[in-house]
Amino acid sequence: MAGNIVTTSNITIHTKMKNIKVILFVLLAASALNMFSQDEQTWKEAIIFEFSEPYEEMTISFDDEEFIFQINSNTEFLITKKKSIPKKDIFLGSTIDVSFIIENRNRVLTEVMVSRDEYSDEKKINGVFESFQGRIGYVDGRKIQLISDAAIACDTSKDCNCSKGRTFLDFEEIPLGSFLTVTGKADANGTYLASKIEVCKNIYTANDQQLMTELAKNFDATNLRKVGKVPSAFNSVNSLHNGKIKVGNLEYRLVDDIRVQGYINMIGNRLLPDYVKEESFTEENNVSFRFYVIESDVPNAFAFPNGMIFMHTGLLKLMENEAQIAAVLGHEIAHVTNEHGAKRFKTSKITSSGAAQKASRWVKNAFKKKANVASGSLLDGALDTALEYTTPENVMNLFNKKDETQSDRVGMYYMSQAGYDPREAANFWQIMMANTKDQKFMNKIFNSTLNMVNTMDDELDEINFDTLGKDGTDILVKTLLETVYTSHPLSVKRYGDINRLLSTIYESTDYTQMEIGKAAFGKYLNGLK
Amino acid sequence: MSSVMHKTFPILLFFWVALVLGQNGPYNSHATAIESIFNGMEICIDENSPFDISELKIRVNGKIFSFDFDRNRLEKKVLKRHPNIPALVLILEKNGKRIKTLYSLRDIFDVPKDCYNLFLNVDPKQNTILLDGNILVLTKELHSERNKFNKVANGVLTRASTNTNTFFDEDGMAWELQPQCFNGYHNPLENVKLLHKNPGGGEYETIRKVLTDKDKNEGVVENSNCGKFGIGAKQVIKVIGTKLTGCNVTDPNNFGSTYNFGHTLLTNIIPKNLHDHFDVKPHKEWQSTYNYIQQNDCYKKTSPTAFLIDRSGSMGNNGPSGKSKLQEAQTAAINAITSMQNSQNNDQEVAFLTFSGGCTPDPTAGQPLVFSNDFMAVRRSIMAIPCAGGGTPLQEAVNATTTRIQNYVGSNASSSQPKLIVLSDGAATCGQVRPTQVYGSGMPAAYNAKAQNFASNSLTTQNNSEIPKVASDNFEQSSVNGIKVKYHTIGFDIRPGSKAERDLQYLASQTGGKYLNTQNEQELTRAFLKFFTVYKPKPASSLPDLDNTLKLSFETGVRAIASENYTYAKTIFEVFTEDTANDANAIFNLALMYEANDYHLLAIEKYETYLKLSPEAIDKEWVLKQIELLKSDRILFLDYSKKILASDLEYLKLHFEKIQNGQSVALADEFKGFIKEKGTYYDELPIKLGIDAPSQKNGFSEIAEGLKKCANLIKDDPTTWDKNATPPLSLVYFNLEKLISNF
Repeated sequence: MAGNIVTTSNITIHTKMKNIKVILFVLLAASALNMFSQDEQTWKEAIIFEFSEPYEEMTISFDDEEFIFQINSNTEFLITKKKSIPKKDIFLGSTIDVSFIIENRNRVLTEVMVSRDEYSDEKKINGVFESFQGRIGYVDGRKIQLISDAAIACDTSKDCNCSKGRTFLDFEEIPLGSFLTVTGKADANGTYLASKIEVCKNIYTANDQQLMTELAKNFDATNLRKVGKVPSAFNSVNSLHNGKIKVGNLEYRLVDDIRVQGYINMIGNRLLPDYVKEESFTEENNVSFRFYVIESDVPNAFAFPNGMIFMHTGLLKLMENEAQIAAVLGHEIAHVTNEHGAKRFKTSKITSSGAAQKASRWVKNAFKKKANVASGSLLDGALDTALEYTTPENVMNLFNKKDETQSDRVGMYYMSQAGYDPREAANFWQIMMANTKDQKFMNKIFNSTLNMVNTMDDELDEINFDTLGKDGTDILVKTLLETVYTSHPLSVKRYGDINRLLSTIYESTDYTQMEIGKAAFGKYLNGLK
Repeated sequence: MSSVMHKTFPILLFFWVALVLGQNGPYNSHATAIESIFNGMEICIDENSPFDISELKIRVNGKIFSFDFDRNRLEKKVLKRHPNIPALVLILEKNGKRIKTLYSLRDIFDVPKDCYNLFLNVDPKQNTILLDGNILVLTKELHSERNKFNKVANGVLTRASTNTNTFFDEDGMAWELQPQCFNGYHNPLENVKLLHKNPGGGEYETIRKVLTDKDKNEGVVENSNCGKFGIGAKQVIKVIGTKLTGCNVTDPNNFGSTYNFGHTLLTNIIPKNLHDHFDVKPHKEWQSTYNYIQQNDCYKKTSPTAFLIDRSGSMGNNGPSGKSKLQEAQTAAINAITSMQNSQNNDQEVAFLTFSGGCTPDPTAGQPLVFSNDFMAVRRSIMAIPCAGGGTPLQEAVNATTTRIQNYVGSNASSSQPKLIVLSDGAATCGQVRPTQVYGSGMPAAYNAKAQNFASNSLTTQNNSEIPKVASDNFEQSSVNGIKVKYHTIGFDIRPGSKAERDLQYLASQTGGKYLNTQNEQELTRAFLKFFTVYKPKPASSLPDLDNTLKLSFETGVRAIASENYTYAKTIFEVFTEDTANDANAIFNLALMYEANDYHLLAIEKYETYLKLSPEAIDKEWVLKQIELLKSDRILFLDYSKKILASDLEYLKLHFEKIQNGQSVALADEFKGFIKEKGTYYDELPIKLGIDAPSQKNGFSEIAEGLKKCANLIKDDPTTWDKNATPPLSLVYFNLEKLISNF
C-alpha cells in the first residue's frame, strides 16, 4: 500500500537527492551575489506586504521571500512613467515593479511602479453581468452606471454568439450571465461610469463541451477501483457509497456529517446569482453548483468549471463565522461563473484527444520547471508518474493572479448580495495571512499533505516511488500545497485586494443589516473543531 | 297536492308512493291523476294548471254531440246553463258563477288557485246529460311527482338483432335508438337518444352518454353529417356493436331522469310539440346543465365494501381507551356503520373479514364473505370477531380477500367499484407488500398494471363488457378490463413513517385509494366514515349565464367527483373558480374536493365562502358541521405531519450514513423511491398545513426542489447519482431539520 512510500524513499534514494540540493544552492548563491551590487536593480511583479505611515519602509514579497526596502525623499511612486501616485493610495497586496540601489547594506527604493491594471482610472472591465436595476448594473463585482449616451453593442468574436451590428438599448436587453467588456471611468465611490459595453453572450462552445466531458471522466471516477460485486443500482465502480470522492487521483473522504454538508450547501446556494439557478443555465452550460466538504487538514477550497466546489475541513477550522465561509465560497463560485477554469483550458490550447493528459502535462511541466528538474533527467520519470497520480488532471488550482483578484471582487459581490457582511472577507484573509506566516501551522499542513500523498490510491504501488526520495516527495507535497489559501504572499494579496474593495466599492455600505452568522456557524461546525 | 279529485289526494298519494317503491308499474305516472269526467265534478287547481280532456263523449237527451264551439251550437230545445253562450262548451263555475269557459279541450286554467266545478253548458235540471271521458289536470306538485314515474333505460343495453336500432335494457324493456341532430339539450356528439314507445300512448326518453370500447367494437360512436336536417344541424350519433353501456343524463334537480313524454294512458292527447307545456320545468330551461350525469343512474346501485381487520397478537394489546385495540376497532366499525345507517342514500353492502396467523395463501379462509346491508346482521358479525392472536399475513390476506371480492362482484354483476378497507397495526410478517424500489405510496406511474408485482388485482370474467367502467381519458385509474378493488388502508397505532405504515400507504395508492393514520377509537371511527363518504357535489353552477366552455368544465368536474377522481376534480374547480369567484356551487364543490384531498384549511375557507355567498343555503347546518370536523382533522393532521417530518429526517440521516460507510446497497432502491415520492409530498405540504411564513414556505420548496433534483439525477444517471446527489440531499436535510425546529 502507498503508506510506505516515504519511508522507503528515505532509506534508499538519499544520494540521488543531492542533485537537487546542489541546483538549489547554485540558484541561491546567484541571487546573493547580486545583492552586493551598487547598480540600480529592478525586480518585477513583487507584492507589497507592508507599507504604512510614515512610509519609511516597504516590505515586499519576491520569489516567495520577504524583503524590507528603505524609502527616502527621492523614491518615486509612479503609475506611468510620467504620472505619480500618492503613497496613501497604494494598497497592500499591490503588484509592483521596484527599482532600488544598495546603500549601507540596505536596499533603498528609487522607484515603485504600480500596475496599470490595478490603478488606472480609465480602463476596461471584463466580467460577468450579474444583475441590474435600471441604469445600474453589476459586472465583475463592480457597480456600473450607464452614462446617457453609452453604446452597447455585440462583441463580434466567434464564441460570443452575438451578431455584428447588433446594439442594446439598456441593461434590460442584455442576458444575465453574459460576458461584458465595459469601458468607463470610476467615480469617487468606485462606481464605473460606462461609456461603452461589448456583449459576449455566454454560450457553451465545443471547447467547453470537451472540458466538461474530461472533467466528468475525471471526477466521476470511472477509474475508481472496484469494491467488489454489489448487486444493486449503487454500482460500486462509480459511486460514492464508500464515502469517498476522487479528485484527479487523490481520494478524499467526504465529511461524514450530513448536517455539515447541508450547512455548506445552504450557504453556497444562498450566494448563487439567480441566473445560474435556472435550469436552462444548467442545461446550456453543463454547470450545476454542488458543494462538498472534504476531510483534509490542508486549508484549501477549490472549484471545478462544472460547478463542483470543494471545501476542506482544514479551511473551515480556521474560520470564525458563516460570513467567512461565504467569502470563500463566493470566491470559488466566481471562478466558475467567470469561467476561469474554462478559459485556462482554452488558453492552454488543448484541442486534440487526450485533453486531460495534456492538461496534466501542462501542470507537470510547470512543476518541473519550478523544481528545476531537467526533462529527461533521472527524476523526470518518477515525477511524471507521481504527478500523474497526484495532480488533479485539470488546472483548477492554478488560476492566474488576475483571476484571483476578479474572483475576490465578484465573490464579495455575491456575499454582500446574499446579505453577508463583506468585511468578514478581510477578516478571513487576515487569519490566513497570520497562519501562512506561522511555521508551525505550515509544518502541520505539510504533514497532512504528506499523509495524503502517502495514502494515495494503491495503484501507486506499481510506481517506483523510491526514485522520488524524500526531497522529491517534499517538492511534490509543496506543489500540491501551493494553493491560493496556503501561500502567504497570495494571502497578503487577497487581503490587500479586499481591503481596497471595502474602501472603494463598499465604502458607503450600510453594514448594520448584514449578517455574520456566528450562532449558526457554531451550531453546525462545532463538531469539527 | 291536488288534481281532479274529490279530496281524495291522501289515498292517491298512497298509491303513488306504492308505485314508486314498487317500481312495478305499467309506466303510467299520470294515470293516477286521470279522472273520469262527469258533469259538476270538482276540480282543484293551481293558477295556470294545464289540463287535457280526452275521449270526451257527450250525450244530451240521448243525442250525441261533440265539443266544438263553432259547429255544434246547442239546439233550441236544449236549455242552456248560461243563455248568453250558444255553444256546447264546458264551463268552470264557483258558487254558481261562471269563472271560465273552456273553448278548447287542452288549455290552461288561467284562474286563481281554488276548487271549482266543471259543468257542460246545458241546464241539468231540464236535460239529461251524459258525459264520458277523461280529464288530466296538472298541478305543480302532481307534476313533480309525475317525474317519479319516469322510466329510463336500466343497465347495459343489448341490441335486439344485427340490423335494428332496437335495444333491450336489463329490465327487458325495448328502446329505439333515435337518429339525432344537433340539439342544445341532448348533445348528440356525446349522447344517444333512446325512446320507448308506450303501447298505451306516449313514450319515454333516455339520453345516455355512451361508453365506448373500441377493442370490442362496442358502444362505438359514429358521427356523420346530419344532411337533410338543415340549418343548425351538425351531427348525428350512431352506435356500432351490440352493447350500449354508459350513464344516463339527468336533470340537475334530480326530479327524475330525462324528460318523459307521454308516459300516460291518455291516447295521444298531448301532441309532441306541446310536450314541454306539461313539464314542471321544460328541459330547455335547464339549458346545458340538463346534461348532468348522475353516476348511480347507470347501473345497479349496490356498492360493496369489505373490511379486513388485523387480528394479529398485537391487536390484543390495550389501546388508549383501556380496551384492546381489536375491541376499539370493533367499536369504531360499529359506530361508523351506525352513523352510515343514519345517513340517507345508503346503498352500501358491507362485509367483514379478519386476518392473523401464519403465512398461508388465504388467511381469511374459513370466514364467510357475506355482503349485507342489514346493519344489525353486520353488527353481529363484527361483535363475533374472535380474540386476537398470531402474525400479520397482510399481503396474503389482502390478495385473498381481493379475489373473493372480485368473485362476488363478478357473479353478482354489481356496479360501482368495490372497496376493501384494510386495518392493521403492524408490519406484514409474511409476503412483502411493497416492491423494493418503493419507499411508501410510490409513484403514480405504478398504477399501471405492469408495475404491480403485488397481487394481480383484476379478474377476468366472461361478461367483461357488462362490467361498468368509467371513462378513463383524464383519469389515472387503469382501464384494464375487469374488476379493480379499491383499497383504503388504516394504520392503527403505528408509528408515522414506519415500514408498516408505508406498506399500507402503498396498498392504498396503488389502487387510487387513501391511507389514514389513526391513534385511537375516535380517529378510527372518523377514518371509517371518511372511506364511506360519497362526495355529493352541486350538479350545476349557481351562475345563470355561463359560457359553454365554463359549463362544460363544471360538468367535467362533477363527473370527476362522481368517478372519485378527487385530485382531478380539485384542479378543475380551482381553475373554474378563478374566473367565477361568486359561483357558490362551484365554491362548494371546491371545498368538497379540498376536503377529499386533505387540504383542511382550504376546505374550511371555501365552505365559509360558500356560506357567505349563499347565507340561506339549505345545507348550511351540514356545512357548519363539516367545518368543525375539518378543524379537528387539521389538528390531527398537523400532529401527524410533524411525526412524518421527523421520520423523514431520521431516514435521510440514516441513509446518508449508509452511503458514507458503504452499507447503502441493500436499501438503495427504496431510498431512490423515497426521493422520488417525497418531492411531491413536500411540494404540497405547506398548502395542506396552511403555512404562510415565507421562510418556512421557502424551506419546503427547497426540500421539494432538492428531492426533485435528486430524482432527476437518478433518472439521468442511475448508477452514479449518489455522488452528485450528496449536496442536494444534505440541503434537504438542513432545511428539514430547520423546519422541524420551527414547527
